[in-house]
Amino acid sequence: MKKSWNIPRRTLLTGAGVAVALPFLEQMLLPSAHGQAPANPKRFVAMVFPNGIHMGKFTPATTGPGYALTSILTPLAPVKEDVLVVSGLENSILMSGGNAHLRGFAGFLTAATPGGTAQPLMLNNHISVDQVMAATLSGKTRLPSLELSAGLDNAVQAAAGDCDGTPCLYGSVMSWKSPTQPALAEENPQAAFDRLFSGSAVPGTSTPGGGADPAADARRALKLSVLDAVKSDTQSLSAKLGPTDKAKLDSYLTSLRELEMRVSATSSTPLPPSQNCGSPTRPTDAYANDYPKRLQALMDVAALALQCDVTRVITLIGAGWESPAEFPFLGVSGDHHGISHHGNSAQNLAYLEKIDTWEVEQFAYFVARLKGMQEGAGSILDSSFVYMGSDVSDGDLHNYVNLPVLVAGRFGGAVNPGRHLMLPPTPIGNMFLTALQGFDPTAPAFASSQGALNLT
Amino acid sequence: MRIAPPPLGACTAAVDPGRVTLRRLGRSEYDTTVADLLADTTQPGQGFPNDDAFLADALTVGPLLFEKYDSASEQLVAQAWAREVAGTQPAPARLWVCVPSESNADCARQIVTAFARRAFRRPVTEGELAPFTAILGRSDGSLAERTQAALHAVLLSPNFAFRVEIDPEPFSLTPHGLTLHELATRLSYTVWGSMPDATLFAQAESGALAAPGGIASELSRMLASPKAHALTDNFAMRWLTLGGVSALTRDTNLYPEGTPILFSAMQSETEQFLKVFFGGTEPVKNLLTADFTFANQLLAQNYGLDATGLGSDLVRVTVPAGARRGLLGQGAMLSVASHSNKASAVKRGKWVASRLLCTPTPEPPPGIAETPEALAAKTERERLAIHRADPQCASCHTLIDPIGLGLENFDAIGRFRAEENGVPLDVSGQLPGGQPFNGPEELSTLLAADPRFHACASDQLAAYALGRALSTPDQCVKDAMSASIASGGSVPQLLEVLVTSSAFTARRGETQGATP
Repeated sequence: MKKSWNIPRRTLLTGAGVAVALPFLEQMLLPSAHGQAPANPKRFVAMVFPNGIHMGKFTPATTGPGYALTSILTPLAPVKEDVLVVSGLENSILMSGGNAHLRGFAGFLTAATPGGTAQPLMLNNHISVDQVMAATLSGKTRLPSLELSAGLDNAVQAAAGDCDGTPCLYGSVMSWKSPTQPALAEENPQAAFDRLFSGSAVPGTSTPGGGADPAADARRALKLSVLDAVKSDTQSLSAKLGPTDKAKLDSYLTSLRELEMRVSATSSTPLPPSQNCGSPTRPTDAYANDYPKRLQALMDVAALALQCDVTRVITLIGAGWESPAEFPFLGVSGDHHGISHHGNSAQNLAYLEKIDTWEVEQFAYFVARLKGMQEGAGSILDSSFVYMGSDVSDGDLHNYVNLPVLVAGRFGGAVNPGRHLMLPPTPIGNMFLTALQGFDPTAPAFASSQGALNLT
Repeated sequence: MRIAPPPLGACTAAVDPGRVTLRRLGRSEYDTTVADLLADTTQPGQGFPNDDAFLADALTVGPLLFEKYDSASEQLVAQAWAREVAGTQPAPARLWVCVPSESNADCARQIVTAFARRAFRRPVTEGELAPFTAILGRSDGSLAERTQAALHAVLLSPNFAFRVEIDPEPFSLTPHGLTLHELATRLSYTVWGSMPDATLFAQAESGALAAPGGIASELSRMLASPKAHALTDNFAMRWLTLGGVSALTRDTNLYPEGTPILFSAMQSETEQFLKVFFGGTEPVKNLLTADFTFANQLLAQNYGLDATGLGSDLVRVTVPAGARRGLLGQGAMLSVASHSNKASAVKRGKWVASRLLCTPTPEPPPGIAETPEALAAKTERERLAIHRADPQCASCHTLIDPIGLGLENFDAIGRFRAEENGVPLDVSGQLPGGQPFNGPEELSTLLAADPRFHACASDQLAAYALGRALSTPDQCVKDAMSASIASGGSVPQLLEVLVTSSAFTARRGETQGATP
């Protein structure tokens, strides 16, 4: 077996006490992906940066191709021809009542109004578009979807799960598997990497070009027997419960089955040597106290996940709702949410311009990573739809009209980038439907959509 | 054995005891539980998704968490097994209730049986054990490996990961008492954030817990244990949103003193302060009016207190009469409700309204912006007055600003100040409802006597202990708790009212058509 990168000792010790070399990328062996030479698969990535954008320094003055980059869009220069700037999208469904940031965050990928239960703290969102896509891809990749977060939640928010009378979870989750089931995000880039690329969760996986491993097969068999026991135990328990409790256990069972499917689908048979993703490199640190580096490491893991086709659907939270992030390295004084209530003061707007430019720079970094990953005659970016936006448009006004929207990639021809597209007021659900139809061409609608949006 | 309905204690009439959804262990409860169950202090839960919430409905499950449970379970068992092999596993957490060997299938079975009982916090039937012991009979790996796999499965079982309470009739709305094991589990997670210990198990087993005074005497024993710090960490610091204070940062140009060391000290100060209340006879009301706190040299200097003789350890100090009283005089609260570059009367007013009075203030509705005139104002009071001139802003800000303005004597790291930008501070204000005050001390005194604070503290403690928001049928216990606070009751007294009420000792099923 070949060890191509450093794995912490703790990871090596897993698996019934037997040291295993972990690298392996077995997703190519999943039946549906094996032995075919399909067209490059489509991918969807959504990134959110909270507290709005200083739109005056964001929106280009002219439309169409050849527009001039505004100051906030300057970091797009190296990838300008791969990015579509979209103006005029709105999420007006969110307009009524409640905490404006939480609603914007909760509705970021759902295009639906959260809440509306008898008990205000009960979760009641809408399935998010990435999770609809993930459901269509189930079984095609090792993970149906990947949720990441650079964290930086408002310290005040987490307490007691009650944020201004709204569930705090609305502000720390972008992906929703159902109205009541948020898909919580991984915040640690090393843990995210291990989940994708190490054998600890899925024993018996092997290195490209490595040999078969009977010990690993035995471990996998035991792991399956563990999952089987828990499944039968969960079902017996479920039979004794009422509907609400049963629903919670159903989520537990579904999660169990997802893991079981991955474990059963693996094999220690060597992978074909022509692996698209080479030897992925584990982040060298978790960067627990270094926000910019943590975010970058998470983007690196996300890019690798797409390159290795471990998943095709990723959401990445740049920072949580009402993010109090500080940017001393940009010469900015104060916290992001505080500054976003700019009151049109020149100082605050100048700070926002710096913060927002930095955010676009992060997006550009990720886009450039995908562009540099060759696939077939093009790049991973060519088959991707990479969306970046914010919970609100103007952080001071808390409005959901004329949202800041960037879309990178060609999405296999469904997006024609390198332009500034100025739309009349259009529901953002329309854009989500366009993205969804890349995975399910027959999808008729999504949430508040009123028809697909032509992005070509 | 079940606790008899109607149960003991104050609010015991046949009121609806409410119903909590199947409640998962939070990640800190998971860590404390495996520390007691397996003597494992690696805190795997720190790598789980953040779920520091009271309400069972906010404790969701999904694939990421399940995978983390799976690998944590596997590693916890492997490490405990390795300690057994080395002979270093401490007694209360022993796995080997017999000496295992490859030929001793019976011992393997005993190990799994004994572990399941402790992990599930209740007696376990043969039928329930069957899926786990089936692993022992497989042909994969050695018997030792299969035994560990079975223990791994026990830890991954929902019977471990959730605090399971079974309604004998899931669709009956008639209240029924909890089983004594269910009750013991509620008690231990409320007070210790962990599983019951051997004594509490025995009390459930023998029925002593159901005897008159049984719950109250266990409660006193549990509160006297150091493990009761869970009430501070899992309840109070979350209620007050102060659990993240040590990670706060400040604009280093404006507040070079706002260092990680200072913020860590502030968090410890408030934690140690709260512990005084959770262990003893200090009235709950004194949370706001106490004339003592905990300080080291750095904190004392920051607060302008006498730092003579103080070192780096925090010690209890008396705070001289003046502005600084109770929680609202502590750096933790004052800093959490500030911006990184300035104090904020709005954030502080909002904090008091939502945390102490349980009247959350919504964020401004869409379409409202700050005005440049307001930003140009010299003092916060002046700025907010301009702000409130806009009727759309006024509806909420007239409620919160006048509270926060009373705390303007403290800057963004809790230092005392008499003026802002050269202008002497006017620290008069009023509570929602109109009671006027002048300065932080009067504000604290008013709040301590305010029935809304008594109700709010009761509400929060009950929501934490019950895992659900209170509703109309809970009014009896809420009133009893509020009355206890009003008459100078301590936290232990308050807890006794709560844990002997039917809201805590009973539950019911749900209607057939209930939708999750």
